[in-house]
Amino acid sequence: MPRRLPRPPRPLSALLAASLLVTVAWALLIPPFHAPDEDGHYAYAQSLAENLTRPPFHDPAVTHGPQLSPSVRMAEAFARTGSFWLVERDSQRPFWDGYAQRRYEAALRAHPPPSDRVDTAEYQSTDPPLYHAWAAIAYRVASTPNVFSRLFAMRLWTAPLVLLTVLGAWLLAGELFGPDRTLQLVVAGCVGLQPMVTFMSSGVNPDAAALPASAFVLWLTVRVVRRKPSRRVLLALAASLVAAVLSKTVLISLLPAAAVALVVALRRFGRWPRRGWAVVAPALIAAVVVGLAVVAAASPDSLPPVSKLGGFFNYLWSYYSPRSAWAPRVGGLPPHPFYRIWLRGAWGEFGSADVHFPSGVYKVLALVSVATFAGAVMALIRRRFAQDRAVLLVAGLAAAGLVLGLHVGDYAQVSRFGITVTLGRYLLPLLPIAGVAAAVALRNLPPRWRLHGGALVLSSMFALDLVALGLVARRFYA
Amino acid sequence: MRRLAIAAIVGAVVALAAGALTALAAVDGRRLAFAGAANPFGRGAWVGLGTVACQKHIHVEAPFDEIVMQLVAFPPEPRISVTVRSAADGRALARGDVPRGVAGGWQHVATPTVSLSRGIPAGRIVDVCIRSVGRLPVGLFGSPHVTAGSSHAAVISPHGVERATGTDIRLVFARRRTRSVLSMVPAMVRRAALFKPGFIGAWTYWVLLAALLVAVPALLVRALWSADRGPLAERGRPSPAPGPPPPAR
Repeated sequence: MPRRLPRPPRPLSALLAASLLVTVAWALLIPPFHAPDEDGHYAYAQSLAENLTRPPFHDPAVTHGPQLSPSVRMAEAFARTGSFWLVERDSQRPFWDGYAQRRYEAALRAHPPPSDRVDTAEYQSTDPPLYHAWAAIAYRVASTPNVFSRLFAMRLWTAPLVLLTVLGAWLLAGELFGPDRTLQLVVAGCVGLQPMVTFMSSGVNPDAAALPASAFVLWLTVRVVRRKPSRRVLLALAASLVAAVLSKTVLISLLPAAAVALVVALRRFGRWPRRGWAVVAPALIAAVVVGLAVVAAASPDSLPPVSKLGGFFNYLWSYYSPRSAWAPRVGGLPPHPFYRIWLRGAWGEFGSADVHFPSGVYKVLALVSVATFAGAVMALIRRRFAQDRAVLLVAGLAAAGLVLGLHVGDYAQVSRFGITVTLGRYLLPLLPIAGVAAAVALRNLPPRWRLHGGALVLSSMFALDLVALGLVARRFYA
Repeated sequence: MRRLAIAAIVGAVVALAAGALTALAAVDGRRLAFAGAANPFGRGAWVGLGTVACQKHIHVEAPFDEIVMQLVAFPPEPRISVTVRSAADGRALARGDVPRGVAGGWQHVATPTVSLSRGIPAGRIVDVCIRSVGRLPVGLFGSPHVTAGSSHAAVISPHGVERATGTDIRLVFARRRTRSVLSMVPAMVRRAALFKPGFIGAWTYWVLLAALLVAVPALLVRALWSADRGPLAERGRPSPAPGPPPPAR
């Protein structure tokens, strides 16, 4: 008799429903092809669905020729969206009445473009294929020549991935706090209601798959450290890592954290061989080398030349130095890149990165972020939370690995072309760690006030979602 | 009491956000009617020496009585007039002039607003024609014609010969009277429903708005109440006294 799946805890069920609802709201509100690089990702999924091959790559900045696919080009031309959204962002809008939609439908009936032709997916052609394969299922099921209907089906098919993201964060919190539902809810809510998570989970974009995969990697990494791992857990960790890397290449940077977690587990649970480090240290180095080789093979431009190591440290200094506004700037970086790129982008940068909160909001959010991590440190110092140094180590390694991986890729672009390509949303895979910090910070409160604190955190996150949705509606439709 | 406090916190924060959004929308005045498809990063057309430039077959998405354009003009200050014509029969519907003092000098890009003699209602197809009465030409900004719309730029020579330029002139259509974003919410909802599958309509967005304002806060309150009862209460038993917790699933 098949084993019944356990019923999810009620707080989790309610949070999952809330998170999905907000994500679906984003999917409905964002105009077609206005999630980041959505047309490129659509063309990628189209190529997989129609031809079972990845789309050809050519760099639109260097190689001339038709981009995307004839069907996407036609749809964008009629809807005045996506690639046609170029310079004049302030007053440019999608079409506002049914005239253009009717003309598109008439043109589609008269001269339907070939569905199976994909010229390129622009810069997205080098992305790994897992998310696009997932999106291709919705593309096939929504059997219509109307690109907008297909795009909407793909968005709706993508949205439930946010449920896995929330579940991963919930399980991570359970591993750390035990069955303290309030703290689990805070961690999962900080992830599942964070406006960039709901926004990025609503569009056709591999971040929607990278977020749940990385949440599961973080949970299973911590689980391996905390409890003797079974074979099933190890397999699940390996599968999550593979899913993460096949969704977004840079998530290979989570590999060192997972490897160290395995080493810690071996030491803790009694299978650590004599002279174990003699085996493990070279294995870790080999893993890093293999990782770099995979990244170099997948996208050769993403690694800077070794000879530019000194320049890389200058770049890092200008990224994080508080005086970077006055220090000599590394070409392509804005003043205070840590704030401008990481913080603003991770909290809220919507549409094709052209809709933002008012700048004062980011300053408040910066203070909230600092207060959260300071509160977490205070709770650790006050021993309000049973510390496990190994957990801190693997969480720190995961964060440092991803940030370093992003910087290496960014520096390659900065040194070659003088432009920065990092965006704050690339940090979102680490959001479960930030959620844990918020929950740990709540432990500074007396137990009877923690639920109130949790209510404030969750409702504030949702309030940010509401404001962000309002700003997007104003930007595109008013 | 504790449950009420939780509901009050969630309700207050959500009401504060919704109230702030509503207040901002009420004071946020918008004059934009709609914008053409062109971007102002290149040449739209040159006018002058008897040549007239027209952006033809513009579908009027919303009523307007002002037109904003971007141009560069050589001194002395040019006199530029704008005429809005019906695309069907060429009849002049409204006209206006570029105000004096805003379009002089070839060293900077001017962005004048032309007030029209009459408002143009939504739904019409119109041509916007720009004429310069001066000795030197005036450059109108725009971009290559790339969208699928039938609207396109053309120049008409002094002899009446019309030639398509393969470009679009950058035109932004505005209203003299501002409208608050709040008053535009029904129109915004209709606009958001465009380019979606047939079963999606304005009603979907009203339902969604209600769900966001009512269902999501209710779900959050429910989640917090359930969390307060603890994991064992989820299975119908009271929570144990606090102690070192085992890892949870």
